[in-house]
Amino acid sequence: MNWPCGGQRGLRSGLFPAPARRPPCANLRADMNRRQTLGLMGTLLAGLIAPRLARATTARAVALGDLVRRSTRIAHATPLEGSSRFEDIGDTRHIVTYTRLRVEDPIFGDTGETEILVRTLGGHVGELGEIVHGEAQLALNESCVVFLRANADGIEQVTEMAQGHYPLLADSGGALRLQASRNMPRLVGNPGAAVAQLANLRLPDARALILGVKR
Amino acid sequence: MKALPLGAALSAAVLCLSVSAHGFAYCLTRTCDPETMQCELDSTRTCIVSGKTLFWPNSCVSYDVQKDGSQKLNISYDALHTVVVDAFQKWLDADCGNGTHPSIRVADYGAVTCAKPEYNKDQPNANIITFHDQSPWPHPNAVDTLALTTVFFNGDSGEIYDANVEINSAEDSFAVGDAKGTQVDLNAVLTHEIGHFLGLSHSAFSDATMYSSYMPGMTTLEQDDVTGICLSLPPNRVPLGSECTPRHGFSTECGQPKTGCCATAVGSTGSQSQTLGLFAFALGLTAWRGRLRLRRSARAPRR
Repeated sequence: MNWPCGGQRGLRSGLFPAPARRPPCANLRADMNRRQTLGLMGTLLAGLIAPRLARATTARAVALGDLVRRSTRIAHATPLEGSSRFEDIGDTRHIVTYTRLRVEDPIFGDTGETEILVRTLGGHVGELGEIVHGEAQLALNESCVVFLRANADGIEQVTEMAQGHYPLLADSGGALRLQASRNMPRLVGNPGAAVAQLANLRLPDARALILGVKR
Repeated sequence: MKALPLGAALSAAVLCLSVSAHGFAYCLTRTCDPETMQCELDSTRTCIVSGKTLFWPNSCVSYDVQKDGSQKLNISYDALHTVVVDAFQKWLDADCGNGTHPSIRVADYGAVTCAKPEYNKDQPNANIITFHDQSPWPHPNAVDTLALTTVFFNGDSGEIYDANVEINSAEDSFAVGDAKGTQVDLNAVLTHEIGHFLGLSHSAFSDATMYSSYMPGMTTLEQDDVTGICLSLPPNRVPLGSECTPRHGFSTECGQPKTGCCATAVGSTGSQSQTLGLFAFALGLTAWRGRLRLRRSARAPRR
């Protein structure tokens, strides 16, 4: 994990809005020496200055193969908390939200982290809200299968926004099934679209399908 | 005299019936943010139903088409402007019953220079519709994006402050009218995006313009879209004002970067100074803690 407080190796500096509780960060802060902290801040500064990413509302439907190939990590995870702030995306200022997720099952790209930090577009800062239609919304406590892509700064984002986010819902028999994201962008048709293949699949079947595509 | 209340009652009944028939397939955009708040969902788990619905506060909203059109796709300002006007008109013409329509009118403020989907917190603004010709598309985790709508709003009241539509001409090809091959029907895309601009979210009803699946030529509103826009901007609502001007005034130019330590303009790279100020503070704090640690270790007895 390359971003503050993203996982077991993470650390959060005072630059970022503090979540309500963050035991891994509290423990780690004591372990960091000054040089490491300064190095990290340098990286953060470079990251803040460098132009960055994303959002959508009408999109081409992404094939499952492309979605898997474009992702650096795929996981069954549960969002625990989110925190929003302003960031420059490309040449424009936007509100983004960093969500901390507990990894329930690292389907692909396992780095041993039990928690990950994911950035999505939109959120609330003070009285100002911003919504980007088509972006994934990692709803608190709603477990999901999420396809993630790390950018050049190491920040993980949902691959193809809502097309890479599948909330899990228990069926009448108690089996978890993947659902299409609520904020799905309007999709230009594609018979092999990931959402068409994954929506309503049982979690173990979806896992097997994803890993099959990955191979 | 009795005709009007009866008509209103009938239209309300029709509205309710159509809503229940579609099971509230359309979703209104709401202030509740599921990433940081516990939001209530409807029974189908497709719409957030807690929080305030987003709305344009006045009876009028302005929009602006970016002056360059798409030089890459050879779509002129005039051609884009025609599509935009047509898309707005479809929503404004929605029949809310008894000859009434959504309680908003739009004002075309003309061509603008700014091509950024920004909102300026303390400078003039514009609600723009723009192509993005320059490659690469600046959103690399979403290369299949065709167009995106960004809406800024008051998170407490739901009042919309600003809305912008950006069309990805850097990566995709659009056609005005008949789309051929891999071309995308610009009319269909913008009809959908203007629905977001006006406050609608997506619909679960597969025929709706606000459904999350696109078909070329899908430019007419379905009953689900009409029901959604009529409830979002009901004909009998009392707007807060009649002004069309964007929040903090109108400008054809993008927001100007502010100088000094405390600039907070949103939508301007100049406001990075606030972040840099925070960074400098954190850096100073770290240096201070380092000095403190050195002093402590100097005082500690050596073994």
